[in-house]
Amino acid sequence: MTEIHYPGVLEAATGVLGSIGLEAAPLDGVTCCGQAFFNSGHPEMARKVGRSLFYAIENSPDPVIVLSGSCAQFIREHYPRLFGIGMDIDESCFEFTEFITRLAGAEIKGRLATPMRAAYHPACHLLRGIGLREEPFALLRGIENLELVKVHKEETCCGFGGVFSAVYPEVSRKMAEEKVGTIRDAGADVVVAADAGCLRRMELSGLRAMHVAELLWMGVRG
Amino acid sequence: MREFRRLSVRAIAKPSMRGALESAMERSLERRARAIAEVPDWEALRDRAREIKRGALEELDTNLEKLKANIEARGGKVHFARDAREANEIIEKIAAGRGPVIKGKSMITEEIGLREYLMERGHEVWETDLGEFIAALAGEPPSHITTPVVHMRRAEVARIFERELGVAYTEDPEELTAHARRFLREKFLSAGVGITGANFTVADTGSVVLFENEGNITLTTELPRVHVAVMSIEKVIPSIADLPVFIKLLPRSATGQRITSYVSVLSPPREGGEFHLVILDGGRRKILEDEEMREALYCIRCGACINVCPVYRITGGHAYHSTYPGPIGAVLSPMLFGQGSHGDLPYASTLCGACYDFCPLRINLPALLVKLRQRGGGLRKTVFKLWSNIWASPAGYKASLKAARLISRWMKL
Amino acid sequence: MDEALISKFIERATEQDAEVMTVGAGTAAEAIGKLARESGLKSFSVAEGTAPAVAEALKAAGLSESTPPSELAVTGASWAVAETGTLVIKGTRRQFITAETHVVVLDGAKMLDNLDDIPFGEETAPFLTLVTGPSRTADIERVLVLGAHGPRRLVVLIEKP
Repeated sequence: MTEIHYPGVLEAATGVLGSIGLEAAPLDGVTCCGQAFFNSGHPEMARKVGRSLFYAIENSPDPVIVLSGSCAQFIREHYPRLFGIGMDIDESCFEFTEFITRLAGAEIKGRLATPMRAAYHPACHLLRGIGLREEPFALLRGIENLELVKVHKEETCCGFGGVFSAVYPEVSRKMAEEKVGTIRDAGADVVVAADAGCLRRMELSGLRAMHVAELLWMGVRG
Repeated sequence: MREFRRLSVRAIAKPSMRGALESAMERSLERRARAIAEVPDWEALRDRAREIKRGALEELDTNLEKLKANIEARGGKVHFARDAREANEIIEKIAAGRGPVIKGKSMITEEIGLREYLMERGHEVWETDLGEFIAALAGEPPSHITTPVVHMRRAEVARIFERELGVAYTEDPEELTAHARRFLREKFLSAGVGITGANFTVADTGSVVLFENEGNITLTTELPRVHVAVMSIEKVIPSIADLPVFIKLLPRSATGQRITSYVSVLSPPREGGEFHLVILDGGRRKILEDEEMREALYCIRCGACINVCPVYRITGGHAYHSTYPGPIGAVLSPMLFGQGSHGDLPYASTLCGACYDFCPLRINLPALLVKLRQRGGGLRKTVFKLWSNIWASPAGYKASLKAARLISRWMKL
Repeated sequence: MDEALISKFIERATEQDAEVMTVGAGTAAEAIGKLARESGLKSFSVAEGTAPAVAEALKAAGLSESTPPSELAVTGASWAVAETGTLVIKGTRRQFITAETHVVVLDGAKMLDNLDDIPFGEETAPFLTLVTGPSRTADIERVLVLGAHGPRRLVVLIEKP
């Protein structure tokens, strides 16, 4: 999803990591983690699609950073069973904000040229799957001129749900409308999250949406 | 298999239902949060409950035998029913010629369509739980497992009472409740048979445990001569020593109360009374034997998953076209009633995981839903197969990205 | 008698809309008579084992004794649980569940800390009811209404020495 809708995220993420002294390069020869296939009831197809990524993670000497909370969680939860043992997946693969806050223990310092009022949306798989609750907020607070608003029922799902948005589009749309409503009520007109699926869903419901990496990069560049 | 789609679209178009649902769910969640915060060992209780259920199911037949022996030793009768039809037949035979029937709220009796079955055969049957009573008068099924008419505004209840009970129109919940109390008290006093479910049954003491706030269940078990309790096979716990764990978990998870107004721990039959326990399989044994899906039977019917589900919040319970709505309903329905009719439900979830978070028994509902999607054959196999072939290779993947961007913009995905 | 537990019980039971008062030992009958006079209720029943003084006080208050259903029902309680504000009543339920007002005379020494302390294993037979507050429902728009089918009022008299 990230590559389809938010192609600038990779560059932004590389830039942010560079700012804390970490060199990152895009993983070569991979396609997609395969979760859409798995969640559509086709685990064998998920295995086929995710195989190149599995091998790349296995063979990578460095930790692999994933720019989507749901993908990271899917890889960690299901790859061991889909591909048989092998790597200690919890040591090899991380979501972007998770990596910066928990692994690198770093702060990102920056400053936005124009003040911005944004809502951070805790994507479900990052929040409940990987268990990242406070860290993203703390991370974003390192950026000056960025005001994070408090959103009512902020942990409620945005309605994307991967295939859900295609199978039950009306319910998905309604959920997103409500989510966007709570964000606007909180005084923000832009939402920032670490999952492109959520961002796209909310964008389609009329809200400006930005990946965490993009926002951080904006702040770092000043 | 298009039911959920059709019904959810219909539900979205009903803003008044949404409003009623929204505030009810909010309040339930707030109360639950407060009630749980009071219990310092909540997580330990959840672990303990899960362990008890695991053990109970592992020795299910032994526990059922013990339960039966203890009840029969006191002069009660125990009947095993394979399916809904058998259960209904057994109960109808018990009720035949015994006079009017009164019922407490019981999801299992909803599942087997007991009230309709009895009424079709000429029995007079009254629901006594206020919510169920209202739903029955309205000719609607309940939309939630603990708050049956959470989807109704008071004006609607007022109209129903005016029409069906012949009382003056009033929207005041106090007055409406008083009308129901008066009307049903008469039925309580004249009934010959009282039917309840069983929140828990206990193997080592042969106890039947019932939770309620209204007092209607206690009346139902005390006034008519005959008490029939209906349970599905997984409702038995091994020991009375296990009970306090569930007394702590159930009310707090369900309604945010520390405890319900009444918890009855019965050793029926009572003196001068007659007692029957009907134990229904109804497809549970198959789930029991299925290692991957077995934990679906840990459910204690608290409804917390339903209260927190963001999808249910939008669609309400009727969209699930099943006795059991929400996340647990999406898991149980295809297994109990078939993928053919209910295979649309496992997809009625964004897999957000809130239900898993809230379930007192830590049932991994999202994982079960994905497994059911697999077992149901998955979505649009041909389309996904083609897509997966393209995305299996980096070259195919790159080439398709451009196309994907265009297509998804067009489809607004 | 654990004062802290009793206070906790009073707090929690009151939160569930029970009316709780403490009375000196042996003065329960008097308190019940007063309550009955103020209530305007007409009939009463007492559970087996209730002190005869209670029935006398109620008759003196102008109520007539009747077999259940009666408007006022007096029972004891085998224990109470402070954690939840609950009374544990053994035996038949018909008498109190059909009443408008249920009065429970509780010996303060029977106060337990929490649900785990109820001796379920030994004491289940034949019927045990955990009663917390009066009957209630919130089925209509989640608005709380007391007195759905069971008693509208639950009055607890804690007897202290």
